[in-house]
Amino acid sequence: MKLSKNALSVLEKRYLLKDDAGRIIESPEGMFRRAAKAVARNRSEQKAFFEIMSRLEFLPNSPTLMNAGTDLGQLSACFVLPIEDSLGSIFTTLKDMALIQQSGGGTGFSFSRLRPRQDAVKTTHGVASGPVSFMKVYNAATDVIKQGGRRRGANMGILSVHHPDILEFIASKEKGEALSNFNISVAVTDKFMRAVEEKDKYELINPRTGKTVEYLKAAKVLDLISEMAWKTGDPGMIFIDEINRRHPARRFGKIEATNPCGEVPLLPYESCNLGSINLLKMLKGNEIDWEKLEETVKVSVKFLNNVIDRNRYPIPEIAKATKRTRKIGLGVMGFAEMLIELGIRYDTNEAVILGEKIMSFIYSTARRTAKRNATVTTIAPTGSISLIADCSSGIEPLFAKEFVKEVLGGVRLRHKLDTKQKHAVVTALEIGPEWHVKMQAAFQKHVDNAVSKTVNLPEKAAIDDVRKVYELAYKLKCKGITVYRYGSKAEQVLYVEDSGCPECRI
Amino acid sequence: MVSVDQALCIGCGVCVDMCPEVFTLTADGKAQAIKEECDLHSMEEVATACPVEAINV
Repeated sequence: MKLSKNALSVLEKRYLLKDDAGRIIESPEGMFRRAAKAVARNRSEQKAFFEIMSRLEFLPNSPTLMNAGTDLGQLSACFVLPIEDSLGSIFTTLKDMALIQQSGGGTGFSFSRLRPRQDAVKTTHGVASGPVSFMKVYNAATDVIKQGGRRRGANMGILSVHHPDILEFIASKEKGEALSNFNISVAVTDKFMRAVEEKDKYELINPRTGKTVEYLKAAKVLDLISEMAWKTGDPGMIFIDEINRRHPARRFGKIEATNPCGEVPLLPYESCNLGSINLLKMLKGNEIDWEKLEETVKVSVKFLNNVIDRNRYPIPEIAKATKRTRKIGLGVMGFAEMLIELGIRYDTNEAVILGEKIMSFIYSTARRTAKRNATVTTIAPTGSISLIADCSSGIEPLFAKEFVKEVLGGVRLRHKLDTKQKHAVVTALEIGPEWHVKMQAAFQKHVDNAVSKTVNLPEKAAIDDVRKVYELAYKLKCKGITVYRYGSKAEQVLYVEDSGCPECRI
Repeated sequence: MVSVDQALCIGCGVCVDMCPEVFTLTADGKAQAIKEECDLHSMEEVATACPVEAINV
């Protein structure tokens, strides 16, 4: 099988099995064979799974590639754990988080049920220290676990916009290193967004007592969110009412949190396993091969559904909640490069319409194949697996015509784009923010989990540009939104290459 | 009679994706049946694909 240099280097560093002395003991082909065998129920499935993976047409999330058929056997990428308003609950969940991260999973939490800072603590006659202080404890624990060095410890911390500590939360990542293992998002309600529009106030409610303690101007709070996101990339927003309105398993409860990158809203103790189809491999000459796409979707859905039964869950509560709703998330990667191959610029109506058409096709095909799966589709960021498949990540546009990517362990990878369709090449920073949001909304229409998408803004963008992105995302019924202004984080994952290496010029 | 239970429907649109002649999304984002059948799929198949089992055939 053919793999790029980048793919090989990532696989050798993090995916291929090693012996006790650290020597690699399997080939990339062997890895796909191991995963196919572990997930398949019979010979014909095993053959089909191996084929779509080894041809790089479909790849499951990293924990499946790393752990399938090994003693660990934990195959899911996404988890959400509950935090109740007691020390017992806070530290039980901290322990569960540690076990999940050790197995390569990412964890999301809502801190909204915790009583605010300075609130009464009856048992000790003291005062509470509040959600942000406990997030720091979680962050420190993640630092220590470091997931065995194979996957970065990733957390999502969510606080309701109605929580009395919301202002402290919004600014909690302002200082360089603070909460470095967390993405943070504000869970905003329809009520809040209406108050923004009507220049009205909205209420802060103490979750312990259920009583309103204060009123804030909604527009001021959105301003602060925008300013902090402009400065650091955090917080993002999740539109929690839209999430719950469209949650297929809503009879089991209310969703309060998502996984680390926001693409999978989950109930407490649910996990979800993801996989992505490489759209670059779904082309036949200059058009989309719909028959091949249909066949690939069917095999992929079977794969992801099997994973639920083959998975070794870190704690029994997760096994139970996951098997109850059987959520899976099939998505795509290589979308931007597929557009380029078809000669379509990302920032056009044509691209948005095609994106919607592809996702609608995948969704209805996946739904017909699914077996009692409450959700079937998700657009994941595909950070590592897109390197293995050597394609652009998720539905993101190309970051730059030439760029280097820092991956875990300090490997610097150069991305090379080779195409005849140069007129269709357009990069994330050249694309107007409204096109980023429109594309996200187009995919969201046919995705029953959510869409991971970062709206990239140029360094010179204003705070108000961030705010406009947030408001547009809500208007277009996205489930969440993240922005990133170039250069606003000290350490960023993608850099535009400035050394001007001629071999990577397109 | 094909019908969509409005209380259960979450407006995911899978029925519209499968049979756009039969199903449309109303102004409040829920699906509604406006015909009895389409060429692409049987109504039983659409009902099975609905994630919240809101389609009655």
